[in-house]
Amino acid sequence: MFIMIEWFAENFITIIITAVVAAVLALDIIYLIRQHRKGGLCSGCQGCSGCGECGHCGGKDADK
Amino acid sequence: MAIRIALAGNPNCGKTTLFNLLTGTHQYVGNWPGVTVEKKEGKLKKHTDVKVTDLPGIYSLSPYTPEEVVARNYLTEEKPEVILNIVDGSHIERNLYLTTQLLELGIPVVVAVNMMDIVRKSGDKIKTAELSKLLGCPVVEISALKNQGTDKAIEECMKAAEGAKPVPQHTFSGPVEHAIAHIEEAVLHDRPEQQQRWYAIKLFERDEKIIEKLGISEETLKHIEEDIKKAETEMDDDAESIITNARYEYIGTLMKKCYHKKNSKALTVSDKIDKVVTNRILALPIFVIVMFLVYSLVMMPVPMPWGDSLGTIMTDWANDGVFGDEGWYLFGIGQGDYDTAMDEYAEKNIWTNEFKADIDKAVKADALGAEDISGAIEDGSFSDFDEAYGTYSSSLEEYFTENNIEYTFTDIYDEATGEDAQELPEKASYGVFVKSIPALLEPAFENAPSWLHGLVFDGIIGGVGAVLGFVPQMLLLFLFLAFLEGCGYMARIAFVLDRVFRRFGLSGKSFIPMLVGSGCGVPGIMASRTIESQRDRRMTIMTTTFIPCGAKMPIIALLTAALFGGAWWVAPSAYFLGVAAIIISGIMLKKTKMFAGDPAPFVMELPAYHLPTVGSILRSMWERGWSFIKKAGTIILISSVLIWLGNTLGWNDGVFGYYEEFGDDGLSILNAIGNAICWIFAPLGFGEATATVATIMGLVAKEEVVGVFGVLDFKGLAPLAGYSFLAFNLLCAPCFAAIGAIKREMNSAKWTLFAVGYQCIFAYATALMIYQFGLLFTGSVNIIGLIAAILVLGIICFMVFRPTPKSHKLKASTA
Repeated sequence: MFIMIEWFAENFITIIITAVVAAVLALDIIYLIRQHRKGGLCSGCQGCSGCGECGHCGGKDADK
Repeated sequence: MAIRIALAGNPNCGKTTLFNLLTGTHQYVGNWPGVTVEKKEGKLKKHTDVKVTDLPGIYSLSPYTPEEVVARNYLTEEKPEVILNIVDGSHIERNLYLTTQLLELGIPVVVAVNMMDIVRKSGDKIKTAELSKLLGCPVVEISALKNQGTDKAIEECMKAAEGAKPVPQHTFSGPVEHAIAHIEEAVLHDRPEQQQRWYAIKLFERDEKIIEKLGISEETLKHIEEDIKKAETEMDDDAESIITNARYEYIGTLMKKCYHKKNSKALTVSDKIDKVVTNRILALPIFVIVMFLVYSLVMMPVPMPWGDSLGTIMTDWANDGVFGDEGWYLFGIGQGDYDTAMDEYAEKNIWTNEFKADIDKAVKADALGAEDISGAIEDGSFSDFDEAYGTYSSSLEEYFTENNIEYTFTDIYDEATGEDAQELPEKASYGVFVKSIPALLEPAFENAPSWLHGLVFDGIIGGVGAVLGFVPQMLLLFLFLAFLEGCGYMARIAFVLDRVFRRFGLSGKSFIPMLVGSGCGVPGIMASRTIESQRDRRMTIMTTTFIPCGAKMPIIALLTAALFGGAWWVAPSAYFLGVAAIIISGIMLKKTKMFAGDPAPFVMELPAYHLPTVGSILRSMWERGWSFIKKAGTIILISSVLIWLGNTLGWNDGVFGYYEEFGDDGLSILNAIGNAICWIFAPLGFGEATATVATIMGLVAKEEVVGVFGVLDFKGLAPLAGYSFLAFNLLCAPCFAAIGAIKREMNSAKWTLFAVGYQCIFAYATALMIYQFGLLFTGSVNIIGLIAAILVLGIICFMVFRPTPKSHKLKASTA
């Protein structure tokens, strides 16, 4: 038990950083999947508010 | 009570500007007709129960274009409580044509005469009170751009929504009114009374969509046809023309009573500018010069009084400051003092006699970069020296090692600039020094394992930072493009290019998707929907992505700076390579059976030139730029991590695992993939693993090409191979998102495959010719490659110059 606590203490910052990086990547992937399911926002697209072709690209509900 | 206000009007009359003003949203506004294709909805500011709908710009309620269908269906089926008809005051006569139709719909109409500031400035007069009486509806003066009169317009809309339905004031000639009355009686008696007249007029015009919608029987149709024919015989014209002429006659009488033009023969400022800008001879050279200036100002280091161009300064700041190793001086405060201190330090500790002796030896032997390093030492400038040393030190080392000459210059440099160096000036001790992101994060990673350090610094910061580093340059480009769009110049280019495109079987309509595509290819591909001819639409979809989109800007900027020393011609040539690819593809494809046919007619109203507002330009720039920043934080980040993993996982001595460095026999996953495929690109000059991986990753997002170079140790390409690499990446298949858009628009897997295949083959052929013919000038010709390039050129020339097969010859003459 003590060894485990010692290991955690020694690697505390590493664990935190790893958790943060993993969380960012996971959130990123979830965001991309959600966007794709919503109707496939294009990669360079900023949503319908910035586009004259609103509603044509399947991203019709992206801004709602 | 919930109220729905529909904004209706001609294209480019200011509907979306007014919509943004009323709802507080930031919909895309452009100074060319057809910016809005679909309707958009928003809630009126401070009135959540009032919904405002921005309809696409239309000239009439006849279903000639998709926009007219969208607007007409909304007005007849959704039946908003009130229509706010925006009328361009500077073109009031033509705009009132739609007004006469809207008044027949049985929905309260408020006419807002927009651009009144321009009308007043030109000295023209519109008697709105008289117009209101004659039209039978409220008429208000507004300027949406200057937010004048809009409150009054909304007030009138609220009143109109609660008031009585309008009764159209104008009537047609006797025979027509007689026929309309008969149609109402025969077909429309079960329709709401207010709508009967509009439907009757449409039936009189034999509007097929309305006939279909009302489900009229053959017998009844025959019956009303008799009435229509009788009116046609009596009026000696066809039904549609009778109605159109009557409307214009009515508008003519309105104009006589309500409109006074100060000087009808004098040319407006726009007309005068157009005389030059759209001139038959000057138009194209002016376009070339304008685009050349835009691209070169953004990409190349044009010397300014203070040094580099704005684009270069901003990119250097982002790359070397924000994502660099150390940081930057806020507003340059302290930079001068630090440079002086470093010059003195280098004089004493780096440029020792031994160091100089080594460099002199290299200069005498004409070793690569030695002259640059020596020059910087002579000038006593450490910053110039450091730049040259960073670029050429490894090649100098190679030179000394290969020639078995002893050297000490690297040891001297490393010792004098290393961690243990005494008296080395610290940047933070001078002026206002801001640490870079890597420098800020570094302390937190002191005890972190090497894989985590590598993942964050080499993978995430390296990859994402490489892309974000070009955002300032992209913003500058978007700023220029937003200005050109906003002032009305881009609309002229569609008109000018129509003349060119028409010769090759495309119409100016194809330029609008290309214009939209210069921001992002996806909406560009979508914009092709407005092209009615399926063949033209397919051809436009296939060629739109040849125009460099914003995502390709970092590739151009990176290669221009890294391989061409910021040469002035590289960035503009990339743009015109895209234009040339479109024209050549247009000629070749139009001569095939699949795409043969007359180009679609192109009619577009040229908007008046005006200075766009600073806010609208900045907003347009930011909206486009923000999408790239968002993309860097999502798809680029994930891709960079994958690239880093592929670059650090692999085999060393046959054992798979994580390795910081691979030995001579070692192989990373990426290298294994790159090596397996890179032979394909060998004839193009960039048959090596990193460039191959970058090209493939470009399919995820084009910026990722730069991201790959940020993560991987890119050894660089020779300029010729670099340009070939650039050409291939600009012209080949676009990113997956754009391929998806092609699939949706083509609605066919076969056509999508054909489009992507064509783009890749065309890109390959272009890059092959660039590289192989370029080799002729370097003296290192590859005979097989040269023969292949000559064959490709021969095929392209044949496709371009062969006569159009008689069976599908173009009939359209040039515009």
